Amino acid sequence: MSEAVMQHGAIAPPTGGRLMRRLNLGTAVAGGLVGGYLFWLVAHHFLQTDEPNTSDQVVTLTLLGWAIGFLVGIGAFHGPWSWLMGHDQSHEDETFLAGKEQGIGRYFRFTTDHKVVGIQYLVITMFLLAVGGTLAMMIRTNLIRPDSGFLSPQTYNAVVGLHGLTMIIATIIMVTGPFGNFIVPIMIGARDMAFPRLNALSLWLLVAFVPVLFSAAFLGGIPTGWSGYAPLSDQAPPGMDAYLMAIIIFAVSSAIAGANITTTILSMRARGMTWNRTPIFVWGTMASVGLAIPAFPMFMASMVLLGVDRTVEGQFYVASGGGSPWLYANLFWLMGHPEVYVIVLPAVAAIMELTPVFARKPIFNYNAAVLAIVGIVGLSIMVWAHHMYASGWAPDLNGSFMLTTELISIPTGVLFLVLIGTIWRGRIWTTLPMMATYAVLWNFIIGGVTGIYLSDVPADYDLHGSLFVTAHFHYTLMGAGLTGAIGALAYWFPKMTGRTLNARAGFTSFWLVQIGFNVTFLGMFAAGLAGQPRRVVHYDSVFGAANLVSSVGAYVIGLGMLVLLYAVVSSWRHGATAPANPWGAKTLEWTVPNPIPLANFEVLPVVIADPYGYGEGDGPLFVPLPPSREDDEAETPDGGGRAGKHAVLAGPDAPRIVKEEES
Amino acid sequence: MTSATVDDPNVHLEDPDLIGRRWRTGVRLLIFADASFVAALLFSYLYLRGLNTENAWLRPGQATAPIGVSWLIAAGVVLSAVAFRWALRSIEAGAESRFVAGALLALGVLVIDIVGQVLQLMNFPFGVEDSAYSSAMYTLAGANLVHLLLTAFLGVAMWNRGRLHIYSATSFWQVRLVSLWWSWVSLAAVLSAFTTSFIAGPHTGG
Repeated sequence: MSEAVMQHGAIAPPTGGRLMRRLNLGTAVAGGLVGGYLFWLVAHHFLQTDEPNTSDQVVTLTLLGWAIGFLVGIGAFHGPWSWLMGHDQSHEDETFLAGKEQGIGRYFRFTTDHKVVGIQYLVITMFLLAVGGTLAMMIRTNLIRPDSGFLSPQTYNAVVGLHGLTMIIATIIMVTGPFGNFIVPIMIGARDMAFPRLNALSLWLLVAFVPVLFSAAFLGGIPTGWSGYAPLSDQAPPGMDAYLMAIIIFAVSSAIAGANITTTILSMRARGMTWNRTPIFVWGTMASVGLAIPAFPMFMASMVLLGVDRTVEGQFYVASGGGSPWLYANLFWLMGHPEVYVIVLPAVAAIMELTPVFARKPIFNYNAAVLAIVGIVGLSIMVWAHHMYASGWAPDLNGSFMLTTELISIPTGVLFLVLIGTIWRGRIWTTLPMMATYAVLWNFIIGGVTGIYLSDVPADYDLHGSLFVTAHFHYTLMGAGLTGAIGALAYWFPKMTGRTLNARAGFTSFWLVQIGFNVTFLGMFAAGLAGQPRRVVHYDSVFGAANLVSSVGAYVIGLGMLVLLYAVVSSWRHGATAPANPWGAKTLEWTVPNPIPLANFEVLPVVIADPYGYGEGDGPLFVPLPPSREDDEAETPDGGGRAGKHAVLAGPDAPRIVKEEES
Repeated sequence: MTSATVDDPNVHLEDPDLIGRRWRTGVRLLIFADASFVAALLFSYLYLRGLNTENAWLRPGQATAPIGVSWLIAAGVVLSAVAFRWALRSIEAGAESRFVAGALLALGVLVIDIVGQVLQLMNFPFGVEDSAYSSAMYTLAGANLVHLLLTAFLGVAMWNRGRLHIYSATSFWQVRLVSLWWSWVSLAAVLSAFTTSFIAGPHTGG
């Protein structure tokens, strides 16, 4: 029975949807295959086969055909075309698109409900992490001995490149995708995202992206590492064409998602939810997607230029033709360093969101946390060239980039202080999400401190290109980012699935992953400090012990991740039914019932206080408005916003809100 | 539209102006993303021109694109944007037939501009592989063509929807959004023409 029926009694099945009723993942895949085949045919018919770039042209066009056909097959162009023809969608059409009365089928359609999109993002993220993790196991198996011969050099390079890009994409979407879509709209008291159809479009672009990315494995791989540096990328096999097409698709998807989430937060917060009452996770999400909006189009531009070079012999990155690999490096890192914060900020913000809940006290210095997030966003676009100290580009600027990079450690340190201050003297409830807080603190401090070493020009000259760098960014992106995302999953799992996550399996996974992680990457620090370069298939036997330790640690991580996968899947299917607010949390998403109604709120809430009032006495957490003020112009008791007619939530753990009855 | 996803009896109809304001924010953000892409292309042109690697930004004796053509194309986009602006003013004043005429005029000018852009791409006096300059010229012209095609899609929709009396003096927020996009596209074309007016690098022959 659908949520809507449960909420409002018997409702006739929706009649809308028109052509969209017949479109789903199956038609999308069929459309993609047909599109790819048609473009392949056209490419073969019209292109001269004796030109050196023909294979690149054919691959690029075929993948473009796949993407267009896939989007046609899922119905992404149906809305714009209907709009062009003057046929606006009816209420029934939109109800159908929202997934009403479709059961599990809505997860395989162009569904606009933000909760469906959030779950779809979660599944894609888990899939990408599983593939990327498997590739990581292959890398570590190869490196378990100096000359293991497990992978050929070409295969090894391809696996390293694919692992890197897969994991980067997975970590970019792992928080803002599932939780930014599912949780944020409810958290701010909205019924949906600002642009539900764009929301579905960004998701299905990502689905179209996945086969494009993995087709690289069958086209010679990505032998450049995930960074795709020119001029190597100019000379690489057609797998590089898959790389650039994948990035172009992903950039469009992320720009759309970024604009959508940002608009939602800017314009759809509940009445009374002023900026200083906005949950910190919302700030972190907005910072992340706000950074992504300008960052990924630059990456896309660098890929377009690479495509011109590869398919029609352009000269952008070819020095003999007046081009420059430094151009690529600049465009790439103009995306590449903000991208680190695109990954880390929402994960750390999720941790800051859940820590007050389990410490049962208000977040420590909310304003400082917000300022730190804003500071990191501002500084993150001024640090890109610290990745290029050793490239020879503009040595005179190294000092200034060193300064901005070291400055960014200040707001980052403030986030640590906020977390520590929140935990300090709290009545800690040791749950899996709370354990993630401890782990993030530990890992992110190691990742952050080693980052300061690498921001230092002389130290970077020594450590650049070594396994030390690999260990550093894994401590940041995995140790802080992924751990934060797992904490977020454990925290919001009951709300997203209506089930309780298996705590025993969750804790087992936590300890396996964290111990394995630290063993793996502390070992990698040791190998890097001893001088082992990254991305090498063979290494000297002097690094043998450190690599053996790293590989053993990696297997432990893999085992822990399998346990986590088991916990998630089994709990989702058979877990105990979760209460609406199992943690006694005070943000708005915990006020809606399980399963969440299609429109989230029966009546829209009006916020009258910040959401972190834990342990602030046993008095009422809200003040009902007097009946005489039940009109649209009445102000909330603390003047925080306008209120309409109100319903009041009761109970000591109720969020500090009143509900607005709609007219 | 988020308002329509709510079940009866809890139908939540939002004010069209509120939806319009929300869409304006979204469109501005999408324009911001597109501006970042355009800025990256313009930066690439100027960076390679300034660097003049191997003295090969523009090979000795290589023909260059006539500057006037790029400016002519940019002027065409600006003209179409002005025409669409006039259409917007018309619908604001409630003159629906004038809006349809304005949208059609804007679309017509844009189509001519698209033809001009295609002709420029087909008639550059150099190949894309000749030098970094030629690669950059082709790429910027191609990016402008994509802009124009997207705008033409919107222009056709505006004309058709205007013809079907979907817009009126009280409901035209979509027209305003399209006008915003159209203005941005014309600005991007002007910036592109301006940038490509600087051909010879500062270190040419050095």
